[in-house]
Amino acid sequence: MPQTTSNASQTHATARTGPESGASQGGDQLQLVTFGLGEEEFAVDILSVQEINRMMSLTRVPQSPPEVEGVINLRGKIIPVVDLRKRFNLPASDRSEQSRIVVVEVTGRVIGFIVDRVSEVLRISSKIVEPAPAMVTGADSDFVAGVGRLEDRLLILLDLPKLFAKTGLTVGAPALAA
Amino acid sequence: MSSFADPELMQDFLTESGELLEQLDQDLVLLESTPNEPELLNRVFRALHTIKGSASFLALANLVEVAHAAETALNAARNGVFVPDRRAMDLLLGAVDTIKRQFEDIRAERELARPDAALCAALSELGEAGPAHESGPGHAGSGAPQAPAQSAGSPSDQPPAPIDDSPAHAARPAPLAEPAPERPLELGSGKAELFDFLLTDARQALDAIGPMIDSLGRAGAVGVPTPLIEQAEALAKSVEFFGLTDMAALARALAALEHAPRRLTAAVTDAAAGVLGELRAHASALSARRVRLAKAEPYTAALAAAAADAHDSLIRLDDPKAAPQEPPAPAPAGAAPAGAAPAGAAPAAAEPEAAKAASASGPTPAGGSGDQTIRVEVGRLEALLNLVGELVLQKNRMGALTRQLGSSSGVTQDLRETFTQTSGALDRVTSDLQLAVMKTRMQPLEKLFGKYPRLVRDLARKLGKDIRLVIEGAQTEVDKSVIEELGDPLVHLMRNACDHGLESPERRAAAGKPAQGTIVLRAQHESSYVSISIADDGRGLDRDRIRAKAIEKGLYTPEQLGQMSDQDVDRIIFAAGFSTAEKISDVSGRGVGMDVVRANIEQLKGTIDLGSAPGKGCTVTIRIPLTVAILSAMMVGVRDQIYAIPLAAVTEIVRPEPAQVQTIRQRRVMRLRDTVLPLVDAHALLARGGAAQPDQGRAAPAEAPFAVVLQHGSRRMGLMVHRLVGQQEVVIKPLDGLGRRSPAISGATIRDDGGVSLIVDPSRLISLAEVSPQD
Repeated sequence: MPQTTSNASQTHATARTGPESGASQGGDQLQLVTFGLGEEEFAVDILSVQEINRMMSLTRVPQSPPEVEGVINLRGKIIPVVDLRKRFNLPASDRSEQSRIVVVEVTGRVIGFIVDRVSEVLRISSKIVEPAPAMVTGADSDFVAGVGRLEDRLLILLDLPKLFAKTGLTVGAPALAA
Repeated sequence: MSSFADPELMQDFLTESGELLEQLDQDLVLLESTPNEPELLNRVFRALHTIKGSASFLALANLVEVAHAAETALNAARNGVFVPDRRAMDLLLGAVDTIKRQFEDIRAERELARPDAALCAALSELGEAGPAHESGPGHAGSGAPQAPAQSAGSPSDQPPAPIDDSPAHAARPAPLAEPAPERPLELGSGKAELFDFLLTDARQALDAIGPMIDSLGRAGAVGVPTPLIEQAEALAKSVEFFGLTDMAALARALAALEHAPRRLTAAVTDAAAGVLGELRAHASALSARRVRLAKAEPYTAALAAAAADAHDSLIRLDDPKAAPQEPPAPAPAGAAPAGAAPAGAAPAAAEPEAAKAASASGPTPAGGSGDQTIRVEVGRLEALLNLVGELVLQKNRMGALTRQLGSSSGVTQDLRETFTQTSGALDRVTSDLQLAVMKTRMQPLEKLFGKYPRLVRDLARKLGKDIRLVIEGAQTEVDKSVIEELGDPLVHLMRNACDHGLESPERRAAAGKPAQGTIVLRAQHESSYVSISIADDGRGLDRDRIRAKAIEKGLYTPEQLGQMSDQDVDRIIFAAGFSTAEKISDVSGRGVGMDVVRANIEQLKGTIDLGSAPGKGCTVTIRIPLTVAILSAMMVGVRDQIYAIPLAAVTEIVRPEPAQVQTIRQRRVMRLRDTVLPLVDAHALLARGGAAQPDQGRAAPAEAPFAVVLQHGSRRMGLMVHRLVGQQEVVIKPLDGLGRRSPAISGATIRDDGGVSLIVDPSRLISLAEVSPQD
């Protein structure tokens, strides 16, 4: 199996950029949603993506982890939204018309993350995906599932469970020290 | 025996008999204090009898055994053989406990525990003490229901199991109109074990019915006594279980007298006596392990006619009893199948229900009232409530849109008005719907309170105290989830009151109080809240000891304690790990007490408060919202965010003039009428201890001008906010998956504009403000 997360989700992706639809697991093909943060381009398995939304106003939660930007109302459900720039320790940038909230389902939980732009839905062969070079997989970078080598650029494939395991997005409220 | 019957039947049995069991607990304790209450005694007897009947239907022999023993004892008590005393009550309660344990076994799909032989023997002995019955109780006393009736024989030739042959079963009496032959009794192995119980039962029933039928014919007799109907019905059910359809038909004919006119004609009473004689003949045939094949159509037809006279006008569609009873048992062939089918086809469903109706309605015949309730799976109600929650959100959004429309210019006046009206109507309908759905989830607190008489009785005996429990307002209804969450805290508080609150009789006497201690458990509605108080007239809280313990446990310094009011000192018992009990008893005092109680109550968005007067007693008052899903909230703006504050905690909102605000020891306070109110900035309080939350490029706004006065118990503070948005009914949504958040945030909700607002927890907010000075 490819290194991307195979968190099968029944909900179909609403990404409008991809003309083709269908299973991503066909043979050695990977179907990915790609998005950009700064200069870099990242990708996640299309099956883990529930939907992609335009930016909306977030409600900040006092004392939540720093990378948690806030919560949003997703059709009656309240879900946390992570700023991926903060998660990757990239410098903060202003939101633009292109900014999107990608809503994914990770290990049974629905989480949104903010990206600078969503590029396309891409079908690539798993053969062109290589494991991440040891140099970049530091203690805090094991969420990189692999690197896809395209003709003119590199695509960083993300392992979503690992990505969000590190953010401490766990269930349960802290107890009050009385 | 280990393979259980239809799980659905078993579930029904557990539910219905479970309710009866709880009622039994209550009634038995009541009976102990009023042993001469015949109605109560009858109720207890009937409940046990019903449980036994259903259990024998399901072939739960071990359960039947203990129930039978208890029933025997109770029957003797009913006949005045003995007056139920403490020892008898201990035995009877022991039997109820045994049955409860067996229920657990059923739930866990285990083999049922065998009842304690000594218990059964002692109960049977009680029953035998008098002239109740020659043979009956003896059987039960000897414990083992192994009576090997007739060897089970080949099942091929004779009576098919009565459970699944409704049409045949209903039609059978007709062709058997022959003199009175007998044939050997054949029983399945499971039933053979129970056959002795049937015999005893049948004899008891007939002995009880006999005199009643005799009295029917007497001058001045009015109507048919209810016990007769009940006995006849119970008998019909038990014999039916053994496939004795003829006998069942006879018994049912008697039961049908329920609908007879108040004045009975001689023909009817004669017929009744005839049926009784026929039943007796059947019973003696049974003792000889023979089945009497006979029918008594002349009698039953007369009875049926009498019953039908009065009955025609009484039949109601919603009356489940009407269907099985209307064609009085062995109806002339042909007419029967339709009417009789329910009784045969779905005996388990129909019978416990009918039995329950009979036992619940006591002396009044259940016929007229009808069955107006249905059981609904909780999951469906939850789904409904969730949907209504969504609807409320949409309604709120609609309201916001309407207001927007009102201020926009591109709309005609007409459209605007229509829209406003429609929106208003939607508002009302939604509110009504919300209320209606919430009502379906309401249950009386009695469900909880009913358990406490037994609890208190047992505790009193264990602790050597004399305790009177007074329960008021048990009919107060609250949401189902609240009832579930309230169980443990209340038990804890009751135990506390019994163990720590009330003194021993000697000490009470020395203090000049009556030896009997009193605990008053009172529930009442207060607007959208219900308040439950537990008041004891014991020694009250020992403040000196609380202070000493607080210092010992390092919770407070003596200086801090010195500044505390008495009430604040009392509240220390809610702190984690605090317990003043000197020795750990198995009643209470493990030191995990009151803080857990407080946490549970606060989880329900409720408050808990204490009132204590040394030497006079202690009162714990709990206030909880009627429902936990929807909250009345005050929406306030803090910088660019809108928070929801539970309205119940908001006493008022003021706009302090600069002259009213002072600084005392680095804390800002304001003088509000005659009190001093600490003021805390909401943003600083919520952000405290957490990572700095940048204000998204906006300059920090001017100082918050409004003080929302929050009150929790006796503690108050003014929360400084920037804007007042208004009041809204909000649906509480869980706020999970964040990892970490301010402890003062209890949940989230969706506003009428679609945005998300966090709900603050006033009590924690106040605690947070008190913990460390404002920075």
